[in-house]
Amino acid sequence: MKTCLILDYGVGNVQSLSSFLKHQNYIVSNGKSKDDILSSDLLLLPGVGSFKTAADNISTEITEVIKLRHKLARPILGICLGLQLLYSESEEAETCKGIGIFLGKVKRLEDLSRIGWDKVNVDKANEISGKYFYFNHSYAVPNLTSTDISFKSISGGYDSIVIQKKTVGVQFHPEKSQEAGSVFFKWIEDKIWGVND
Amino acid sequence: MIKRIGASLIIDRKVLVNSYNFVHHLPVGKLVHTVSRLQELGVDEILILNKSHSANPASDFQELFKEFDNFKLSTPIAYGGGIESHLDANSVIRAGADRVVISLKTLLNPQAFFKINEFLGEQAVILHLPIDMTDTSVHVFGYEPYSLQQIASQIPIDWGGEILISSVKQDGAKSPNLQLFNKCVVQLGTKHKYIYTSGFSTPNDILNALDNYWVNSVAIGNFLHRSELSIRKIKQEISPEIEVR
Repeated sequence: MKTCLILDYGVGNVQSLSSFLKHQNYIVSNGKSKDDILSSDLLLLPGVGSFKTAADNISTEITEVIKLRHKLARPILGICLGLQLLYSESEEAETCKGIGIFLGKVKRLEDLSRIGWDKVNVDKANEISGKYFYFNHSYAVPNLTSTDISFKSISGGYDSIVIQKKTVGVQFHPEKSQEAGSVFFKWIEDKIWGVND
Repeated sequence: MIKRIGASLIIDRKVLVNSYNFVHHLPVGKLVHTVSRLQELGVDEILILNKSHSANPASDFQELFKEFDNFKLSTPIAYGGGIESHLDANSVIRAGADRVVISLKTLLNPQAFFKINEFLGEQAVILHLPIDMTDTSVHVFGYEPYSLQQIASQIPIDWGGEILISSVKQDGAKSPNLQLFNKCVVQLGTKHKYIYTSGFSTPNDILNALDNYWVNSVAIGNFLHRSELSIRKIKQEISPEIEVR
């Protein structure tokens, strides 16, 4: 069994994710111990919550430990708010800093919010092509070109999947995307994290 | 982003009920079985509205969520019933819900409404307005003194949450009232996003509702429990006219 730490920053659909991960054969814990952040097989940054509440609960020290984990190419998954926290900053809370693994600023959606199911656009046909995923957000990262990113996809003009090394950020909720969510999770496990190698 | 076909499930002490005019409730069965079946049939989201909530909504929802753990729940769940503060709302989300449904009572407490939105993000909040009407007024059930314009003034014009409009007279009836829905949109604001529920009894009713520009999603209630038609069949029937998942 693999281990997953859901980073505790005071908000997030923790129980929902925990249930999803248990069905993906993970032993799940919730916390923010520096040792656990480094040692767990997967570090998960949950969604549902505001940037400010979460950022206020992530200390500079924890930010550095997460960056170290990223440099060491240990799997990280940020979902929705979790993806946004991986960027440097957000319009949602101008006074707070993000973790800063991805460069760019999270912006308020012109259409106020995107709630529902949408396809993600991927360049090459793969397991996730043509599938609908569940989105629920009012901030997002506009499609920016960056040389640091090894893979990305767009949905509704905004980043929906961003991958650098073994750090994966998704704007949608795989845990709430029914069958497509499990297919996506298996895809990143196999193709990005190589956990089943 | 495609329009959603969801379910609206009313519960009374963990038992799923059919609701009639918001007053009469008849038991249908166990919530967990219906949620599991709806997921299998491809429902887009499930709203659970607890009419017999305690003073501790997180604990109420935790009890329900324990039962969902027996199957692989992977459908968006919104939960309402007694959520009156950001602490209630956050606890319900942490206990497994994806969005919270709040009532007019919470909207009329501006500090609580602001804090819930600030804490969770506006997109995680659904405001439920059960609309009743008399010969002379259209108002929220139980809040006759407040006009819809007064209620509208409490909702920020650029609010990113969704408003769930249900019609008390159509609750348990066999025809939706989209004219009433349109009246609400005009008075509450055309910039907001809406979910409509109440009175669906044919796939065509659902198609007509989804055809309305302001309806982002429909939430089907009693119709799901008394009809042979499943969510999957409804989607098949309306798919030539509108994109569905």
